[in-house]
Parts: sequence; structure tokens; C-alpha cells
Amino acid sequence: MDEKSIVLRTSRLSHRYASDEKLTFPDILCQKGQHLLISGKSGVGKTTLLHLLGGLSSVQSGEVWIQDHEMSAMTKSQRDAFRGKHIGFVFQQASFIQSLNVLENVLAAQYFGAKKVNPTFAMSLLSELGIDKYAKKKTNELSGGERQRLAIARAMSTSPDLVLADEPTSSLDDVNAMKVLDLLINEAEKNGATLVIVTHDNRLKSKFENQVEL
Amino acid sequence: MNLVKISLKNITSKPYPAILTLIMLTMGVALASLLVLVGGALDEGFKKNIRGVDMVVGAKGSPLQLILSAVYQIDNPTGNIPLAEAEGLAKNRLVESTIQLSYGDSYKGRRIIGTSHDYIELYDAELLSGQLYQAPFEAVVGSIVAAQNNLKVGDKFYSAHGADEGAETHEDHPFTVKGILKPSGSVLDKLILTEPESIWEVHAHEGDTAEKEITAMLVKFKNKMGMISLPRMVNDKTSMQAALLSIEVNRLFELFAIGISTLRIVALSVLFLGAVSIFVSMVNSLKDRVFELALIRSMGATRVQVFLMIMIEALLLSLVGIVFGLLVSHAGILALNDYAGDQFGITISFLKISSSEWLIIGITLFLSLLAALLPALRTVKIDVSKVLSSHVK
Repeated sequence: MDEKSIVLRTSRLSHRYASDEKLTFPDILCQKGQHLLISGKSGVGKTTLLHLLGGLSSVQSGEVWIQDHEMSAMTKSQRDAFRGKHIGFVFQQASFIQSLNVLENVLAAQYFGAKKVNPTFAMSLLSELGIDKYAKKKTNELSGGERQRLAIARAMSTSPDLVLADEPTSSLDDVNAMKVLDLLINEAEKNGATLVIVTHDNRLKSKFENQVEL
Repeated sequence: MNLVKISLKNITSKPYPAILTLIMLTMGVALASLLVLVGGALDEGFKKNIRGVDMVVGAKGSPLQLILSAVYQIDNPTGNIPLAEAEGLAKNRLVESTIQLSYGDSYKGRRIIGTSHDYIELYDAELLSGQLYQAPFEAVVGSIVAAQNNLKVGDKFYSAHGADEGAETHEDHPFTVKGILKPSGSVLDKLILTEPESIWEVHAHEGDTAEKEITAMLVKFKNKMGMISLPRMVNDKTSMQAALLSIEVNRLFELFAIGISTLRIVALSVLFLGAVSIFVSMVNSLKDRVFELALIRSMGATRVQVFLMIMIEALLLSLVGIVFGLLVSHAGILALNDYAGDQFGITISFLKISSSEWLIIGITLFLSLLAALLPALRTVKIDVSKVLSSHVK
């Protein structure tokens, strides 16, 4: 296997909560372009795993590698910087900086993540996702589906290597869920990002060859 | 897109708490700056008129009244003293120089003072036009008097008896304007100066002329010894009273001091309230914004950036408050200029920021940033993972 093409790899990853409950995760290997679906019922630690993969929480035992960087060995500040450059997030509840408009939210992600603002690219993402006409609108004026699209645009705006999506479709109806999933995969491929989705939404299973069950 | 822009948007998207904070900061800065400006100008105004005068000699009465009437020209004289006695004192070996002042008449409420040219030199005043008076009933007019009454060199006017406007006029002795002074910021601006003989001649018909009188004499000592022995000598051995300027001015400032220190406490309290307002609105908004901040962190923002964002919000608020506050106080000064400039000879420039105002600016910035520090430090401790996952449920 070509080492260069590995985007995400974990080994012997486990997490102990404050309540002393311990979760052990199966090893994950994900190569560039091989989008991965991690499924499991509520309470098996899907979000916890996603936060460990994205460096939002510290790894207690085991390893997380993103490309050839061992994130589990980084300090908090190193993880912040690394995350901004290499990882995009899409959360179940699409949330934004309320004081900023649609376009500014994407620009803010570029500013905080890539440390370089590119309005042309941000606008092209918005138009690919069909929400460019709302660029100057407040984010709370968008519908649920539009908000999720904006979240995708924001995740892609820093041209990340890895996009981590936490239940991106579970609050949407069948039609919208599939639309959002298609957009996610589409945009990920266009921007050279590898998609990792954690979900309990069984509707998505048919779309992924690469799957891990928790 | 940068931190300052995001901070600014955060403020303007929820304007009401920001406006409340701004009002408090503006009021605090305005009050504090008004206070130091007026206080400083009073101080300067009083000191300017003190120059070169150590002691004032006049008729017995209140020493403060003597100083106010003879130096600041804002109170009635205590009475008159015999010229001979004053001249006797002037020859004392501890006296360096003296200036005699004779009051009596006024023109349109402005005092006419009989004195020597030394009085003009005392304040370094210069002529704007014309020349100094050389004979009785020639007059040199202060800048404010000239401007208000439209007096020009060569004009004639009649004096009125006493200092009250509209009092009986001395129709038989017109004064001629010989010169007009440039504005000096001193009491001269509001006076009409003439030969002492003018005053004596105007009143010649009213009583006996056996003994010439003056109203007050400004005395400058040769050395410190004068300060110790001369006042006692005058007060004990003559019909006159002596008042030391340093003592009376200190007493005057003690009178102001109560008012000024009360106002100072009020101004500081309002400034402090402004800072508390920053603190409260920051803490309040952080409750709602924890998730947003965690979100920003998930985008790759460092803890320092989030901390700075909060501090910049406080900085922007306090800067705007400072600018508004200074505008309000300086506009207030502008309004006071007309009023107070006439009353006390105080003028304050609109655009200049005094050193005490820089101190106020510093204090305001310090208090505001201090108030934001605690909420901002709390953002550093945000557990991004916990906040983000708690929101989903």
C-alpha cells in the first residue's frame, strides 16, 4: 500500500469518559478518495470518535494519524493550527457565527483555518451549492437544507484533506438527505478531500463501499 | 476578514447592550475630562493673574475679598487707603516694586482703573492699536471691553459712578480711547486703564481733596523676609490690611476642592460603571456564544485568537466611548468658553488633548480591558469537544 495515499489511520484508539466508562474503537484506515462511513447506534461514541479524529479532544491512548502527521502527539495549539489547515467539519446541527452573513461565515472559516481569505473561491463554493444568492443574508434566514449546504461550503472553503461529518443528514427528510449526501461527496471529490461520515442514518449505507461499524 | 472585523460585527449585530455600555463610558469620559479641563483652566487662570504679585495692600476687611477685587477683579473693593500711607510702604527696603490701583468708575459694567503702565507690563500685555495713555482722561482698553462695546482708538466715552451698569454717569469728563490691548488671557482683557489722576479728578467735586486715596496696591517682595515681616507690619501698624496671595489663593482652592473632589468621585464612578457594564454584557453574551466560540475553534482558531477577539470587542467599545466622551466634553468646553471666558478669563482649546486627558484615556482603556479580561480568559478554557457535542442533544 502506498503510504502517501493514506489520509486517516488510527490504531488501538480508546477513550475513557469522566464517568469511567471506557470505549475502544476499531482501527480505521482510510485512503485518499476512499470515503468512509462509520455507523453505529446512539451512545456508542460516534461523536467522541469524530472529535478524536478531528483533534477537538485529546487522545488518551492509541494513535491518530492524518496523512503523515501524528495528531495524537500534538499539543492543543498545534492541533488547532493543523485542524484549521487540513480538516473541515460538518456538524448535525449546522451552526454559524450569527453576527456574520453567509459569505462572511465562509470567509471566517478561511481566515481561522487557512489563514488566507479567498472570496472568489468562497463565492464559487456558494454557487456550486446553489446558495450564492443568499451570500449577503443572515444565516438564520436560511432553511434547514440551505444551512447544511452552507456548512458544506464552509468545510470545503479551506481545501481540507479530510472532511469529518457528524450526522450530516439525520435531521433531514429522505429527499434532502440524499441531496446533501450527494453534494458532500461531490464537493469532496472536486476539492480533493476525503470524506468521513459518522452516522446512525442507515439510508446512507448503500452509498459507501468503505464502512466501519462501531 | 480579520479579528477586528469579526469583533466589530459581533458588537454591531447586538447593538443594545453595546449602546448601554457606550453611554456609560461616554458619560464617564466626558465628566472626567470636563473636570480636569475646567479644573486645570481655573488653576492656570488663577496662576496667570498672580504673576509677580506677592501681597496686596488695601482697606481693612476680608483678605479674600481684597485679593478677589484687586488681583482677579471679581469682587468689590474693601474700600480706599491713603495714598501717602501706601507710598510709605512702597519705600520699605523689603519691597521690590509696587503697583497702585485706583477704582471708582466703570463703563458699561467694565471697571476703569487708575494705575501706572507697570500694571500692563505685569501681564506682558501688548498694544493691538494706538498707544498707552499719557495724560488724565486718556484710556487703554482691554480686548474684551473693546470688542463688546465696539471701541476704537479715538472714541470718547463717559464713565459711570461705581461698578454697576447704568449708574449715574459723569457727563462732564469724557475719556478718550488712546490704545487697545491684545488679548492676554489676564484680567486686563476686561478692564479699562487710565491715569490715576482721572479717577481723582472725576470725583473731585464729591468731597474734600485734602488727601489722595487709592484702592489697593500690589506688592512684590525683594526676598522671603518680606513675606514674614511685611504683612504683620502693615496689619498692626497702619490703617491698611495686607493679604498674602499664596495663602488666600490656597484658601480659595480649598473652597473649590470639595466640589471638585465630589465631581471627581462621580466621574470615576461612572467610568467604573462603564467598565462593569462591559463586564456584565461580556459575561452575558458569552453564555450565548460559548457554542459559537467552540465552532470558531473547530475551524482552526487558536485559543489566543478567541481571547483576542473578546478583548478587541472591549477595546473597540472603550475607544468609541473615549472618542464620544471627549467630543462631548470639548463641545461643552466650547459652550463654556463664551460664558467662563468672560467671567474668569478661562479659555480652553477645543482640539487639544491635555496630559490629564491622556491619563483619563489610559484609565478608561485599562478599566475596560480589565473588565473584559476575566470573561476573555474563560473562553480559553472552553472544552471544544464537550460544547459541540452537548449542543446536538
